[in-house]
Formats: sequence, C-alpha cells, structure tokens
Amino acid sequence: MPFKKIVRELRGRNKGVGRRGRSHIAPEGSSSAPSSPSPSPSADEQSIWVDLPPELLLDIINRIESGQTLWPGRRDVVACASVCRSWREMTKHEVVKVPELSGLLTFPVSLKQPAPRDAPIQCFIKRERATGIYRLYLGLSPALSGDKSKLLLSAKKVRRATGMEFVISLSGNDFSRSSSCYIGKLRSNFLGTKFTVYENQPPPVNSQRLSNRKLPPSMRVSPWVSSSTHSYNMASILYELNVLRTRGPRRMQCIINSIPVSSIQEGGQVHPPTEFTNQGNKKNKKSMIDLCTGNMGGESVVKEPLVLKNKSPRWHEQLQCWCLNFKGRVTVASVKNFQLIAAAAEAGKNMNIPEEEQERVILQFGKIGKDIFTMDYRYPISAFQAFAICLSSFDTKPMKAFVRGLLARANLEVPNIQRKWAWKETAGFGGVTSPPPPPEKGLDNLTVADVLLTKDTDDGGGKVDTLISCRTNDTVFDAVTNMAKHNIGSLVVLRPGDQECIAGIVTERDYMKKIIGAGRSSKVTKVGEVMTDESKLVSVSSGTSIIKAMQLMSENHIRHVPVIDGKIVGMISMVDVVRAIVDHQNGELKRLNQFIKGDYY
Amino acid sequence: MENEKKMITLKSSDDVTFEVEEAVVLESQFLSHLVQDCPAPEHKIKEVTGKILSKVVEYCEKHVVVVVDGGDSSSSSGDDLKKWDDKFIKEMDLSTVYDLIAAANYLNIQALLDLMCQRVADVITACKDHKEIRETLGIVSDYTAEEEAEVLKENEWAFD
Repeated sequence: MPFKKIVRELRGRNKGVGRRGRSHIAPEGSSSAPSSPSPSPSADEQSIWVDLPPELLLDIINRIESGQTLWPGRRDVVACASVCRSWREMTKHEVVKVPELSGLLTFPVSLKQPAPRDAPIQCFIKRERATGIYRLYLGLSPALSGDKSKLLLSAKKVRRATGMEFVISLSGNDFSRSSSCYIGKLRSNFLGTKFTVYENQPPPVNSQRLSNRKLPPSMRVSPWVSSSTHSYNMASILYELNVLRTRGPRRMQCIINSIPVSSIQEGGQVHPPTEFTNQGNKKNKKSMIDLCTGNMGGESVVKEPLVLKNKSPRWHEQLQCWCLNFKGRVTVASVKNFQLIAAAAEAGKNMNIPEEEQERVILQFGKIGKDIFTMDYRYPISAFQAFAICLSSFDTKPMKAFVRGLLARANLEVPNIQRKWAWKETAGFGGVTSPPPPPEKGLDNLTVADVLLTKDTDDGGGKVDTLISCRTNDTVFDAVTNMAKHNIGSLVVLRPGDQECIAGIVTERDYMKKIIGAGRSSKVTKVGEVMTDESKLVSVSSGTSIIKAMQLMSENHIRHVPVIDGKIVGMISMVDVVRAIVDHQNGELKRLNQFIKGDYY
Repeated sequence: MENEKKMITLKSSDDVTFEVEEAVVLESQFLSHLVQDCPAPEHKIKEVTGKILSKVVEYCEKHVVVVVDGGDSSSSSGDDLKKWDDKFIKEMDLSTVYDLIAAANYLNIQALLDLMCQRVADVITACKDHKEIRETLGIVSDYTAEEEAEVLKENEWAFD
C-alpha cells in the first residue's frame, strides 16, 4: 500500500531533526542541545519537557526574548538561560544576540561587548557623594526610566597613596577585589592627569601577547588561570590639565589597548569576549579554551590601538561659554561634560578612518542634575570601557587640578604665544590687572615674600595689613566678625599680652567644624579652644618659593599658611598664591605682546 | 446548503474516531497531504491519543468555522476567536499543553503550534526565577558546581 509507505516515511523522518515538516536549520554549535545524553541517567524522574524538540524550545525562548526587551522583564531571558545546560546553550548562543546587533544588554558579559554601530546605548550615572559610590544604570534618566532602569555597574572611589582608584563591580554594594563581582578598576596617577583602566580578564584579542613562549593553545590558558590577581591594562585616559585650560575645555585622549583602530575602519570589527571569566570563580576550563582557540584566527596583538579624543567645543559668543551639541542629553554646563570621537591621526600618522566615522560621537557624558549624569556609548566600545572613561572625568576637582596644573607648568618653562592667547580668551581671569611682579623672575623663583609684597600694595598703598590678628582669649564671634570685616578667611592668633608670640591660627574651617558643626556658641567659646595650635601649624618662611608653598597647601588640604621668619610676618592664602601666578602670567603675556608689536626694547 | 461536505474519519492511537469535514482536516498540512495522496475514508494517527486529538479537532473546527463564516472578516470575529483561544488554553494543564505541542508539531498545524508555544512562553514568563521554571516544568539542573556558580552570578546581576 503506497499510503502506508508514505506514513512510514513520514514517521521515519520524525525521528530526525526536521520534525516540523519545514526546512530547519540545524543550530550551529549546539551539539550539546537537548538531544545530548545527560550524564546522570535520571530520565525516569525527568519530565516530558526535557524531551521538547530543540526547534520548539528555540521557538518558545525566542518568544520570551522578543517579548521582553526592557528590564526588569529581561530577567526572564536570564532565567531561561539558567534552567539547564540545553536551555543555556540555546538562549546564550542562538536566541540572544550581542548588543552590537540587538542593542540590548542581557547578560553581564554584554557589558564588555560593544554597543550597536548606529544607535548609542543610553545610560545614566548616579553619584553618591557621601560614600564615593557611582552607579551606572541602563535608561534615559532616573525620571524617565524609573523602576525600569537596570543597574549595570557600580564603582567605588578609593584613595590610595599613589592616587585615586575606582573599583568597578557588577554588584551595587560589593566592592571587594576578591569578590566574584569585581570586574576591573580605574587608577589615576598622582596628579590625576593620567588614568589607567584594568580588567580582571585579558582582552581576547590580546590574549596571545601574554604567552610568548611557544606553547600549545591549551597550555596558553594557564597563565591567567593561576594568576588570579592579575590585571590587564585595557585603556589609558590622559587629561591635559594646565593653568591655561582650567576654565576652558580640557583635552582628553583615550588609548584603548584592547580595541584595534581597524575596528572602525571600513569592514572592521571587534572581537569581544563571549564568556565572562572571573578571577574570583574557579573558571570553567572549557570556556576559556574556547576563548583562546577562538582567537587563534584573529590578530594576535593590537598593534594600532583605537585612540579617542574629545571633540573640541565651540565658543558661543552670546552665551559666553563653550558649547557642544549633546542632542538634548546633557542639560547642565559642567567641566566634566565631554564627547569622544575617534582621533583621525595619531602621532602624525593618518589612521585611515572613514569620514563619517570621524564625525560619530563614540562616547558622550554630561551632567543633567545634581549628582546625575548621562552616558551614551556606541560601537566599538563597551559599557565597561565607557563607564571607566566617564569615571575618570569625576576625579578632577577644579581647584586641585588648577594647582596641579600650575605645578606641572612650573617645570615646563616653555613660553608658547599661541597658548597664552587662547588662555586670555578663555580663562576669564583677565580681570586682575595688578602691576606684574619683577619681570626677570620666573615662576619658580617667585617667593612668598613677593606674594606678601603684592598683598601689601593691593590696598592702594594704605595700611599695611598682611597680619590681622586676634588673641586666644577673644571670643570666636569677635574673630569671625573681624574676618568678615577684612574679607579674609583666617586670623593669626597671638598669646594675650605678647605682640609677637604666635599661638596658632584660626580659619573659617575651624569655625565651621568646631563651632557650627559641634553646635557650640560662638559668643562664649574662646578662639584658643578652636584654633589650630602652633605646634601643629604648617608654616613657610618668606624665602619659600610659591610653588613650594602651593605644594604644602595642596598636600595638607589647607588654604592658609602663616609666614614665619623667626616671628610672624604675615599670612598667605591660596588665593594670594593664585593671584600672584596669574599676575605673573599676565606680565609675561604683556611682554610677549610688546615683543610682537616691537616696542619691547 | 445542499452541498454535500466530504467527511473524513480520523482514528487516534487508542482507537477513538472522529468524523470531521475535509475543511477541518486541511488545517493540518500533514493531514491534507495525507488526504490528497490517499483518498481512504479513515486515517489512523498513531502518534496522537484520543484526548489530544479531540482537542486538536475542537481547535481546527472552531477555526474553520470562523474562517468560513468570517467572509466579512470583521474584527469582531477575530476578537471572538482570540477570546476562544484564550479560553481554550486556559483550562489546560501543562502536560496537555506539551502533548498538544507535540501533536501540532507532528500534524503541522502552525497556528495551534504558535498558540501553544506562546502559552508555554507565558508560563515561563510568569515564573519568578529559573528555579521556579525548573519546578514548573519538572526540569532537573544538570550543571556542575562551577557552572552553577556562573549561573548564580549572572542571576545576581540580573536581579540586583
């Protein structure tokens, strides 16, 4: 009977893959899909659902995946990937696409994979000042996304002897380096001008660099299995911070070692990690070998890393500020705001980047409210890389940077006319028009005495008043009134009766901390109780160079230093020092001006 | 209508017979090929039990009727059908859903298969986490301790 034959044929086919009667494409690499023999033959207690044909499971998981594109609904996809091996394989390798294609972040590993090429992934960062914790959320803004915003990464700022460090974690409150949530860190140099991003797993493209020894691929894995505390330098961020640019835009440069510049050249691509290996966990050996062998075909080392620079803003005449078009994603002016684009040429070498790529903003970061910032990133960088770069923008306090910049400049006595002009236009310090200090003196020859001198002449040659004092037995109220009268922030405290014997100094900060902060009354408390005692005093002599004085203030986090030459001769503040330097710069500018016009000699 | 409708008899694996119109059978691609290729009056479907086949027939009859009646293709009939579908799946337990998926897959009834897969997807979506999915579907974890830790980490992040 032909009919029976057909039925038999159909049934025979049933046992194969094409059970659904249409042409199925066998899932790639899913050899361990449901049909794979389970190691423990506990099939008798396994339910019918274990035998669900793979194409039907795929259909079901696809439905879940496409139905839940937003967090927290996206959790369902993660849950599907957690049920058992076959579901995991299916979800991770067939259903969920990398963010570059889907624009969605699903698994933690997607934080280390690049964003789509055409549209950025939009996130925001919340800063918690008290704890120094920064949290990165997926979403447009706290107001727009609300509960739908997903915590992606957190970072905690840690002060180290050598500079700042940000520990980056998958968890919102676990910042231990040994935790399985730890994924990398950002570290600054002492001056806060250079930052380095480290990650706890090697960039896949670079992994071969680690093993120069000629070893079979399986052996190459070992270096980073055993060395669990190893960090891999992934990127460097350089800030050009100097006195000329503190009020104008800073220059930023990011060298991303893990991404080759070819990724944004025509037809280029990134090889992001596909597995999330972690130093805290004992890693799945199989996946690591996959990772390594997977790279065997790719480039071994990034010879030409991707270099990003910040887009230079335009000076807006009417608004009198620097402007960049953030397409409505940034609303508050801040020195931290930036947009990064690919550097078209590096060290005089053309990087061969298509023009449209040069225009594209790869990472944009900016302020939208108190302690809230937006972060939008695009191919070829990942959320982790973008977050680390943005964090570096947080660690630059204007005043500190200013002083640091000055210190840096003091060592570089290279007059640059171009720069001076730029500064005059942008810095906005031009209002100070005191006569310049002796022109022969370089910045590092300027001493505290010179500063005292300019201070004395400031009041129109009237009363010489660099030394406004009070007595230990005065009330704090009187002292503060005295400060307010002279528009200063500190007083020298003398012992009662003795004109020249210094007992200490009292500053606004003492008042804040020890009176207001402690809830004491300024009218009954004596200055002697709140002042900084002479024994703990940081002081300078009039021969000290101002650079040194500045260093002292910056290192000790103080703004006032008494000048003592055997006896007290005056007091200088951070403002005085800064003013003296600005005057000095102005003088230099004037001379250069005269030089250009020809009336210098 | 005097038009004599061609009736076809379907027999389940446990010998329950169903007499249905040809139009109903055509909902299934597998059966329509079968009917076209061999014009026998009775077809035995060994893969499907009577209980499930009755559901399949119920579903196909409903859909055929609506499609035939809905010549005006008004949205109301579409809505009705959707309501009927919802009711149809709601009163079903998961093992019936599984059997229906297998049957729809075998008989190649795309619409029914879609409906059932969606139902499973909804059941999974309603679960709180992967443990509940395992419980609901009776799947036993086959991870090694290391893989389990990895899974846990992913879940911690996702549910943070």
